[in-house]
Amino acid sequence: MHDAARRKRLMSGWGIAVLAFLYAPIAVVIVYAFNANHDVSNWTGFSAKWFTEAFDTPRYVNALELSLKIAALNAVCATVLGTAAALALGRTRSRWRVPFSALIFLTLVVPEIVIAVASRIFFVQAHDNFGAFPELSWRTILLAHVVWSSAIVVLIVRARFTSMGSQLEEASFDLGAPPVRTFLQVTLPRLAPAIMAGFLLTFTMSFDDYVLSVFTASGESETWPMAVFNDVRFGVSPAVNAISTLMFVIVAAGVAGAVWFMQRRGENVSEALAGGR
Amino acid sequence: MDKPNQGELRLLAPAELKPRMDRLARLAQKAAADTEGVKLSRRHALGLGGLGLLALAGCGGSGSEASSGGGAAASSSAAGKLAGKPMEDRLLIYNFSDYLDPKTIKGFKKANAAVTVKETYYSSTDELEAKIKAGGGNYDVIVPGQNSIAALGQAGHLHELDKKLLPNFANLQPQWTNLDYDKGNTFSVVKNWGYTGFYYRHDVITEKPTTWAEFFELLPKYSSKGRTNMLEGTTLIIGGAMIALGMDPDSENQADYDKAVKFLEPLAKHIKTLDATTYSADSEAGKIILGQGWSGDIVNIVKANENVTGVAPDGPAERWADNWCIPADAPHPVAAHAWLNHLMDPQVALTEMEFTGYPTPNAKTWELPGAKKFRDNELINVPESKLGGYKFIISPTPKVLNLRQQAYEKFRATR
Amino acid sequence: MSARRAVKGQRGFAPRYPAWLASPLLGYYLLLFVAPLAILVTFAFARQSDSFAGDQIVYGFYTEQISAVFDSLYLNVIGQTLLIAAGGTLATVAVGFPLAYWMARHVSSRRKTIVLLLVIIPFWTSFLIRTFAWKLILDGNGGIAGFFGLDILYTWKAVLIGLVYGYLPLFVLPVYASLERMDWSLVDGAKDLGATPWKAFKEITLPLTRPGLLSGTLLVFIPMCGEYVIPQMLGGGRFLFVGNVIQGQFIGASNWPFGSALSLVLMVVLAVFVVLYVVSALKEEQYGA
Repeated sequence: MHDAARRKRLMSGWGIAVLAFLYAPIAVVIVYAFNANHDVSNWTGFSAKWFTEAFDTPRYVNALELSLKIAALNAVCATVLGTAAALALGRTRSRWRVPFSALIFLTLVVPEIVIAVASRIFFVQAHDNFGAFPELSWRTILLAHVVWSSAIVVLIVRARFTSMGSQLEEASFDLGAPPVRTFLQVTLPRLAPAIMAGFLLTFTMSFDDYVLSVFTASGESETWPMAVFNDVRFGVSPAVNAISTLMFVIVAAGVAGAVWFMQRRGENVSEALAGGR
Repeated sequence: MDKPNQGELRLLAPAELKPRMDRLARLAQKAAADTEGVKLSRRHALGLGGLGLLALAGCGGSGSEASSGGGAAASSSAAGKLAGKPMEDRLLIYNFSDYLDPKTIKGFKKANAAVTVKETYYSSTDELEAKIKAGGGNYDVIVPGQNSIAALGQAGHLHELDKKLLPNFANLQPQWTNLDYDKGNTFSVVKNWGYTGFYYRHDVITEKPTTWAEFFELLPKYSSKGRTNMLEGTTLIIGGAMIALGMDPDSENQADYDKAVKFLEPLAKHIKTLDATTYSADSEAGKIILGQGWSGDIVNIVKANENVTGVAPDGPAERWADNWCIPADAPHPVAAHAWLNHLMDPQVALTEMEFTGYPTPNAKTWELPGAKKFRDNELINVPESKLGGYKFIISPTPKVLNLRQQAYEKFRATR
Repeated sequence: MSARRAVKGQRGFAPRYPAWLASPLLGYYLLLFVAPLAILVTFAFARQSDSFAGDQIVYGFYTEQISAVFDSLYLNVIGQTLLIAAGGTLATVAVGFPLAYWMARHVSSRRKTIVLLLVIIPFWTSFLIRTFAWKLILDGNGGIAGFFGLDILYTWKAVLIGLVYGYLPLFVLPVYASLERMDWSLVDGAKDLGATPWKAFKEITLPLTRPGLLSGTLLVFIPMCGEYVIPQMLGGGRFLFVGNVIQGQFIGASNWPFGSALSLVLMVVLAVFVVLYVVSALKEEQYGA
């Protein structure tokens, strides 16, 4: 068991090193939020003025709000659609399985810029010809995001679903439980990590998407990544870093608060957030 | 729907769509007839093979082209009718960010209290052009570069300007009106102009290069001494090299592009980076020892770093102009014209010049006392002796774009 | 196996979820993905007209755009991109798999969610801002790397670091999800029976996590093949990915037919790769079982 302890230490060391790798640029972002220079990449001195400037730029705040809204709705829609499809596809041998799986992969294979322009043409034409179809707006951004987001959810959830064995579901079905009950009591708890991974990943990808959003947006909707890209030509202002820093601090505080709260109540954080075992 | 007539289209689509389809087909036919003198079949005009709705979706692009063609036809007749129409209540400007003084918008609102002005942004003219082509933006005013005007104008994406609504147009300098890329200012007026020059760290580079030929000669000599940079983009690299070599940057001759690639290939490894987004900040920090740059950026770099010399080249170089245009499908064309006219006011143009740092084409602005510091800066107010040798890249046909793109790819594949 | 029983078993009392659960997503895809895809295919078989006037695209069934892709220039770029993406994927696996394994096995269950959040939170900062930060870190000229005497900005090493960084969560999360509820007693049991840790890993952990590993590598490899911002920014624009070419053709030269044709060829190449990869992985699974 001495060996095992050493292996565990080694793995933990690696895990912490990778986390440090993930946070290295974030640390730089935070430090440069206090840069006095008008351009974020040249350090010329300390200043906290960008934090007030950030909030005096309603454009940034609006863009951030829009991105959060799209990302959250996208993650919910994609998780529901994707999980349902993964359950149906997971253990079926139907002849629809292969073409449908191929379609799912295809959404990931198409280069983003191409599907972005094609989607814009489609949305414009669809609205011109069928008034019920939404005009270019944040809604069309959402519609486009859900396509590849649900593909990601299907891949993640199905991978877990196929690898976790089906005995429990079979037993539940055999005992006459309807699919909804089987899902809630047997499958969902075991799929929780995958569903949560899918939710987090699609939220993140949507929140940070640029190309697809640009081309499916109307003239007036600007997401956060669009705002950042649009400002690059004349240098990104440290105000963008200031907003990122504040966001980071809020998220970190939220996570820390949740941990503290749950530990105080003696609950298992993982189970509480993941839906229990 | 009694009997089929000339302007009617028969295809498999829901009945309620028929009038719309017919109108599209008529507009497309008219546009085609106007521009090429060719009459398209109705089906061809819409690009529909009678395949029903999926085809409608699948060939959506053709529909968009057709409707935009219609825009051209509509705009040419609408242009004269705009005068006397009431001002609309909204205006949506689509521009680069930080390319318009917020004070200017305030001033416009003061003069036109009923109009709500909103500005949104794009990150590159490529993005602007692609979005206009695909449709659906509802923009009233856009700011394309001179090399997008031919493509957008000929395809019917731009509204013909009604000069009656633009009395301030008379303020513009003759040398910045009636330009080769838009004869008679049919679709555009110049917002501001500039040129593509270069700059170098004079504490590293001891020669005093003044021409593009010398710039290219120095690349191999100094590439080991620090970072060299050229701007990422087909016109900047291929167009720039062709101008430096004394060729026509809008050539339709494959051999010319081969020559440019042959010239650039041995230089490729000496151009350390191709960057047009962060080069300006990097140069202000002195990280680039020799680089190509847009004139406004060069002015800022020289101001921020005393070791850098900026060059408005002697001999051939590229000049460019960003233009105010109105899209053919602009929902608020009267307000858009009012905006253009406002921007050609001498005092407003001065405010703009102070904000963007780029020279205005407004003759009266240059006479104002506030313009003195711009008059005296030869990197901004380039003497006519130099400017006369600077050329526009116009990109008049798709073939030119394709030849240039392919040459650029060959260059970029070389390391 | 159980899956087969599920199909052949008592009809009307099938122990599995009904197939119609997939229909909302299928309908969604038919409308919002297949239709734009049809536009793309239509473009790929069209040709550009000689003037900007009127309809710039001549529709029809022309194969000249497709055959133009089979020029050594583009084939080389595609080949290079696939190689770099394969390298990037391997590096992501090397960095990410131990992380996912550690998270699933060694992090106490009360901290698991926290660590999962810790992995994803950096990616809520705008991609562009993070990439700028990497430029500041890797720059030998005034950056943090310069402090250690390194200067790797604008080299392939910087591109590789950027790729691994950008795509890590796409790999770690699926693999973690499939490792998380693994029955580790199987591994312990194998070791008790005298298996070496490596053998236990190869015989038990790997087969059980293969689906997650499969999804993870595909989720990284495929989008990496279309990447163009990272090579542009961290490679100083001196690394040409096929994504850069598609971007340039599509919105630089406004050549939608050729841009679409190039995308279509890339998609077919990738699809072939994916099929070969999935088939070989499934085969191994069968032999392993």
